[in-house]
Amino acid sequence: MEINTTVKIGKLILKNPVMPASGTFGYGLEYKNFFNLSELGAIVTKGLSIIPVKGNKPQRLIETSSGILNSIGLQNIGVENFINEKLPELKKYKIPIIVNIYGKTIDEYIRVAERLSEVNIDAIEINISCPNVKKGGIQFASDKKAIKKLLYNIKKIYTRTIIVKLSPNINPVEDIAILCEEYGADSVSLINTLQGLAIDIIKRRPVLSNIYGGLSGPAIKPIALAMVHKVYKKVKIPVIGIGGIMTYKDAIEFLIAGATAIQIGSANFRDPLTCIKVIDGIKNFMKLNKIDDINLLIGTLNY
Amino acid sequence: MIFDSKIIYNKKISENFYHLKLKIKKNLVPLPGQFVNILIDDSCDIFLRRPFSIFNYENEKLEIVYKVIGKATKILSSKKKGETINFLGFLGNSYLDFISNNDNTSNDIILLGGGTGIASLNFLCQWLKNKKYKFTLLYGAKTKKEIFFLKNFKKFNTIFTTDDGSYGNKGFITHYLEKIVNNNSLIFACGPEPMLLTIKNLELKNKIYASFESYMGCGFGVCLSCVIKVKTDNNGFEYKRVCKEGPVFDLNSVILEKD
Ligand SMILES: Cc1cc2nc3c(=O)[nH]c(=O)nc-3n(C[C@H](O)[C@H](O)[C@H](O)COP(=O)(O)OP(=O)(O)OC[C@H]3O[C@@H](n4cnc5c(N)ncnc54)[C@H](O)[C@@H]3O)c2cc1C
Ligand SMILES: Cc1cc2nc3c(=O)[nH]c(=O)nc-3n(C[C@H](O)[C@H](O)[C@H](O)COP(=O)(O)O)c2cc1C
Ligand code: FES
Repeated sequence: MEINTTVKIGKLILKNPVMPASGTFGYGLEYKNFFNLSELGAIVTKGLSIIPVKGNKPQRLIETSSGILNSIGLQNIGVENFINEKLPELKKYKIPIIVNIYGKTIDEYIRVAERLSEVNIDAIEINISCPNVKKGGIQFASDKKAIKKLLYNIKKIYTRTIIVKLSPNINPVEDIAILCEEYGADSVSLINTLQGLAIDIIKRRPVLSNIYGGLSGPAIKPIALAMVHKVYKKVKIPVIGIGGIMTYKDAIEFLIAGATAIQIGSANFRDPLTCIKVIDGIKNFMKLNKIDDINLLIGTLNY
Repeated sequence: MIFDSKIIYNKKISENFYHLKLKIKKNLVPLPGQFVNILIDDSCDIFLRRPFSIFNYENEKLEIVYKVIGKATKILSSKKKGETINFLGFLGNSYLDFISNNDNTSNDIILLGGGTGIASLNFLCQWLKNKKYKFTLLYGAKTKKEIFFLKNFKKFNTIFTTDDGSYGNKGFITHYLEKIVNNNSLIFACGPEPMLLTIKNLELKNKIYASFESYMGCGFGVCLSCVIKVKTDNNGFEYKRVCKEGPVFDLNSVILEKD
C-alpha cells in the first residue's frame, strides 16, 4: 500500500511529521554517526542567541521519575558560529532546517532572525520561555505585549516559516496560541519543559545549581497531550506536539489530539535512534490500519 | 555507535564491586580512558543511561568494573550471563591523546588511581605494558577490601596504599606521588575530585592529565549536562563536555569546584 506521510507546516513541507526537539539534538550533526539524518522530517537545532552563551553552573541535569529535570541555561555557540561551522554540512542533508532562537531582549531575537533570513534558513522556532532582561526578567511567554511586538517585528525581516514554541508554565496556553496566530505565526509548537524542583535531602539543597529546572520526558506526556488538544481546538494554524514521546504510539496519540507534526526530545538521550524508530512505527501503523494518508489521522480524536 | 552485547559474566569481586564482561561483535576497538553508556532497563524507571569506564578490552571482550551505589548499579548487578546489554560506545577521548611516541624512551610515567577510578587506569596499564613503556601505578583504596584484582595489579609496578594501612602503605597516594615524581614524569590520574584537587595543590611542574566524572544526560555531546570549567587564555573559562572533549583533561587547565 502506498502511504503518504507528508505534512505541511507553514511553507515547510515535511516528508514525515517527525523531528527532534530543540536542545536534545545538538546542532544536528552529532547524530550523523547513528543514522542518516535525511530520514528525518526536519532538523531542529539547539536554541541559538546572538552571541555565544556559557549556560548555568553544573549540576545542570538530574533524572526524575520517568523523566529528567534540566537547567542547562541555553548554552550555545551563537548564531554566527552556527552559520560558519555547522550550517554548511547540515545543508547537505537536504531536509528542512528549523533553527530554534531566543534572546534576552526583543532586539536580540530580531537580530538572530535577521541573520538566519540572510542565510536562507527554512524556518525559525521562537522560544519564548526566557526572561526579558528589559522587563525585570519576566518571561516573554507571560507577556502578551512583548509577544505581539516580537512577532510584528520578526515578520518584517523574516519571511519564511515562523513557529512559536509555547510554555506550559503560562495558563491558559490557548490564549497565547491564539495571539500568535493573530500576529502571523505560521505554527505553534508545544510544550516546552514544565518548571520543577529536585531536592537533596541530606544537604537540604536543590540538586540543580539553578534551583529550578525544566521537566521533560514521559512524565509530562499527558499534560502535553491535553495542552496540544486544547490549542488545536482554538487555532487554525498547524500545531507541533512535544512532550514525552518515546514510541510511535505516543506520536500517534499526539497526531490524533491535533498535532500536525511532533518533536522528540529527552527520548533521544536514552535511545539516539528514537526518531527513526518512530518514523518506521508510524508507517507500519498506517499500513496495518489501512490509513493511506497521515493527514487522515490528525485531529481525529472523537468524543 | 550502539552495541547490543551478550554478557559473558557479571561477577561479584568484593563487597560492592562487580566485574562485567561483554562479547563485542563490532569491528571497533576502544582506547584507554574511553567509556561506555549503558542502558539499564527497558522501562523508563531508570530513564538515563549510566556511564562506565572501560576496564579492559582484549580479543573482542569488553570489561567494566563497577561499584553498586544506587538503583541503576543494583539492577546492573542482577543481570545474568547470556543476557544482552545495550550500550553506546566508545565514548570520549583517551589518555593516549596525551602520550607522544617518544615517551616510551623515558621511564617516567606515573599513574594514580583511587576508588573506581582504577578501572580506566587498568586499561592504560595494559596498553603501556604491551607497548613496553615503563610506568609506576599508585593504587589507593580505603581498605584492603576495596582493592580489587590485587593479583592483576601486582603484575605491574604498583605501589599500594590504603587509608587504614590494611594493605600496602598507610595513607594517601598523593603523598607517594611526591616521593617518586621527578622533573620529566608524565602523570595520569583518575579518581574522586578531592584526590584530583590534592594532586593539583602539590603544584608540580609536570604535565598531569586526569580523567573526570560528571553527571551525564546523553554521553555523546548533545545535552550539555556534563560540562566542567576549563581555563581560557584571557583568564576566563569555558564549559567543556566531559563526555566529548573529555573525560581526560589537562588537570591544571580545569577549574575545580573547591579551587
Ligand atoms: C565517565 C564516567 C566513568 C565512570 N566509570 C565508572 C566505573 O568504571 N565504575 C563505576 O563503578 N562507576 C563509574 N562511574 C560512575 C557511575 O556512572 C555511577 O556510579 C552510576 O551512574 C550510579 O548509578 P546509580 O543509579 O546506581 O546511582 P544513583 O543512586 O542514581 O546515583 C548515585 C550517584 O551516581 C552518579 N550518577 C548517577 N547517574 C549518573 C549519570 N547519568 N551520569 C553520571 N553519574 C551519575 C551521581 O554522582 C550520583 O550522585 C563513571 C561515571 C562517569 C561519568
Ligand atoms: C537538555 C534539554 C535542553 C533543552 N533545550 C532547549 C532549547 O534550547 N530550546 C527550546 O526551545 N527547548 C529546549 N528544550 C525543551 C525540549 O525541546 C522539549 O520541548 C521538552 O524537552 C519536552 O519534550 P520531551 O519530553 O520529548 O523531552 C530542552 C530540553 C532538554 C531536556
Ligand atoms: S552527557 Fe550530554 S553532553 Fe555530555
